[in-house]
Amino acid sequence: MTERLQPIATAAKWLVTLWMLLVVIAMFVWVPAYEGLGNTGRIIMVHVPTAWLSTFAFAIAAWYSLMFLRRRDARDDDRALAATELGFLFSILATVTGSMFAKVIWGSYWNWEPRETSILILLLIYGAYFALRSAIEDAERRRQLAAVYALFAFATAPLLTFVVPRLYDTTLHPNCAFLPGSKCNGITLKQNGVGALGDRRVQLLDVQRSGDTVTANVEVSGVGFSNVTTLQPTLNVATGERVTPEFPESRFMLALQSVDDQGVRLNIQAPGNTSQRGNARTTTTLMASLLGFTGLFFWVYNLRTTLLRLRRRVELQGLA
Amino acid sequence: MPGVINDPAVAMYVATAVALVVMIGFLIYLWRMDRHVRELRRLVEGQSARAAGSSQTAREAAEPLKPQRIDKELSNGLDRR
Repeated sequence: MTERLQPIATAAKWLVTLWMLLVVIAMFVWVPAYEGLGNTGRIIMVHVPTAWLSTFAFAIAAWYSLMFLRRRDARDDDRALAATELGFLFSILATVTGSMFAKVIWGSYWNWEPRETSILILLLIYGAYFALRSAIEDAERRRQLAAVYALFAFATAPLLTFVVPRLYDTTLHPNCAFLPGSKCNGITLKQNGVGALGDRRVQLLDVQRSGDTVTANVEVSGVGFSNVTTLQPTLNVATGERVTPEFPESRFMLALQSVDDQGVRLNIQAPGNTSQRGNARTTTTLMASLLGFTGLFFWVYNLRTTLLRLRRRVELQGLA
Repeated sequence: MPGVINDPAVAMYVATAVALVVMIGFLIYLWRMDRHVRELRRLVEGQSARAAGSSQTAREAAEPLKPQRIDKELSNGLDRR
């Protein structure tokens, strides 16, 4: 960076510093708690930006890997490596914050839920990138192979982050259960039919009608047929009123959404207020957090790239 | 003490304080790292410039004075003045 830009860079770093401190205060003090989830929902202010930034970082890594293959400039390899390291770090942060949320909401840190599984695969793929780099002695060959690998790895990133988790109708991830208008269609079952909602096995035992009220007897169980119990969600077909019992050891609920000739439609439902996205304070703080984390990302990325460049230069001087 | 922390009214401020301490710690670390990297860069680039400068001087001393080089030296000298 030229000396002329140094004051601007310093001002930007101070801005990021103050911004992040304000975001931390806002996420605890200013943002309202999720109704039903209490204060656990506040973790999305860290979880969502880190998850988005990890994909962004992997995209930068892929771009500079491509540039390296075209220009054979070692600085492009430095940038690709720095971006991959940060993407990996942000993925770990997203996974850890997601697991903390899962423990409170779903009752266990790890549920082998589609999104959890896909981010684990992504971490393994990018973990192999570092293993590959450390296994090759020759610098030029290491850069070439790492660049090719980073391109292939990035081909899987959008697939694992955005496509695979959405292939499933039922997922515990709040994308489906929290936000209105998202694709969370549930499952339609006939009597004795078996299906899965998230990691819960559900079996429709029978359906009882009493006037306008329909009650479904549903046997539910957790992973490995644990916590087997029978829940009775109800739906008043005239008024649309529902009774939604909770899954055992979880704050998610079982809802009877509709009844027709095809069977009954069951779905998993988040507790409490499902219109948090419409809350101005939540949205503002989430966007501010995303902006702050992006600033932090570029700061650390610039530092790491500079360090890698200096290390290369010192190595060259040492050889000369 | 645990009773005070578990009080919902207090717990939120305790959580805020803990998160702030973590964030401030990380930012202090980042600022320190930033300063060290800047110093390191100045040091390494200074050494590189000195090394390049000395090798250039030695090379130029060995070179015969060509007309283009005399022009360059003259214009550099005029610019300096």
